[in-house]
Amino acid sequence: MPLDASPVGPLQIPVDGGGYLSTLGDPVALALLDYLGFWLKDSLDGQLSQLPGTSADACPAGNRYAFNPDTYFVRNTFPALYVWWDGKSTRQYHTLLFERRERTMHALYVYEELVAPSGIRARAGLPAAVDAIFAKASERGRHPGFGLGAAPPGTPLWQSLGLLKFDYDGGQAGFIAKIPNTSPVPGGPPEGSIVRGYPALRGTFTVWERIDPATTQDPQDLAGDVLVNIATNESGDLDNSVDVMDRYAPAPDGSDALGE
Amino acid sequence: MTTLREDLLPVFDDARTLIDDLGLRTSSVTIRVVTWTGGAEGPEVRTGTPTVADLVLSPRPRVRFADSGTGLVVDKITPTGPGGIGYTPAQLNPAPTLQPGQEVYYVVDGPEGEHWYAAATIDYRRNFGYTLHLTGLTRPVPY
Repeated sequence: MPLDASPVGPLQIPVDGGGYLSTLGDPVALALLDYLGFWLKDSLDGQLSQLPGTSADACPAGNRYAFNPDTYFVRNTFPALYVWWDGKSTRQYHTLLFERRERTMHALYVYEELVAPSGIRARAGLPAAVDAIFAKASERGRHPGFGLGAAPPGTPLWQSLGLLKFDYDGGQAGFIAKIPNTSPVPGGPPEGSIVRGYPALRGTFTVWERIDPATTQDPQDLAGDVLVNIATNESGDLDNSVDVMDRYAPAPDGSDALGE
Repeated sequence: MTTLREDLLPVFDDARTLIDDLGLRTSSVTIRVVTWTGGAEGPEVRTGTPTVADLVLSPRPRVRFADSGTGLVVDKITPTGPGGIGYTPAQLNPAPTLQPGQEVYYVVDGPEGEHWYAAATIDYRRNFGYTLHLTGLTRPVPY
């Protein structure tokens, strides 16, 4: 049966069966986790190692999650990086040959719990630094020491993923704190104005994924040899014919040239 | 001349000690003050090297789940009394006197393991027992 196999961004359609119990993930989210996590570690590990008391690893590989952490992040370990799609997409015209799909990806970086106001000065610039790192990672689109999957280091992310665009739209910093049982806000009267929370930065990225045109599959879609039957009859009686010969008309093998 | 309350506080304390000795208090409560050396900006919590000072409440108080199900109620804590028994409000709540670079939390070690809590409210109004209302900093499964 002829197939129409082609990718949308990095996602091959039909989805490639990775084997029993293989994960069906969002390849853009997974790739951004790897890419942004690399940038965070490369940019912050040196300084964080000079601030003992909290993690010296800015983004441990085991703390990267491809889902929206709303309402249940407290069960994960920190520092953590979350990347997810907000659920909305737009199909847009790009060229005569192919169109594109636009999506907004969200990235949330959450550091370890700090105590405010007595413990936030030394790391007060962390959300701003993460925001700058996201902006630089987007602007560069690559890192000399990073290659997605088996790609050589320095391979642009857009090239590995088949993206037309990968832009950082901006971020919003915050201090994620649990609302206590006895106060409508953190640090309320029973807590004595002491707040424990997690410095965080939430950023958004706009990605354009190319919707590739159809590609042929071998052997389903390629031309094959055709059986030709030559028969004769008398007076045009099609129901009374005699076979003369059967031959195969060969399919093109790629060696034919126009004009020959 | 001592008051009736001061005369009875040792009785309450002895009774609570007996209950503890009989193994009927399965959770220990420790008030932990951590002093951090800090960084370039001076003493700061969670920066530098920590020094831990623990105050283990003895006899063990009673520990129950709060009605909300997400915190603990620690009561039957003997107020300070004759002979050095009991605890003062300042000992139970060091927060108002913390210095820069210090933090306080409550460590409850019970059947579900060791977990950290912060004090939501502390009730000093009862004559023979103080009560801590704790809210969890680490959350034991299943809640």
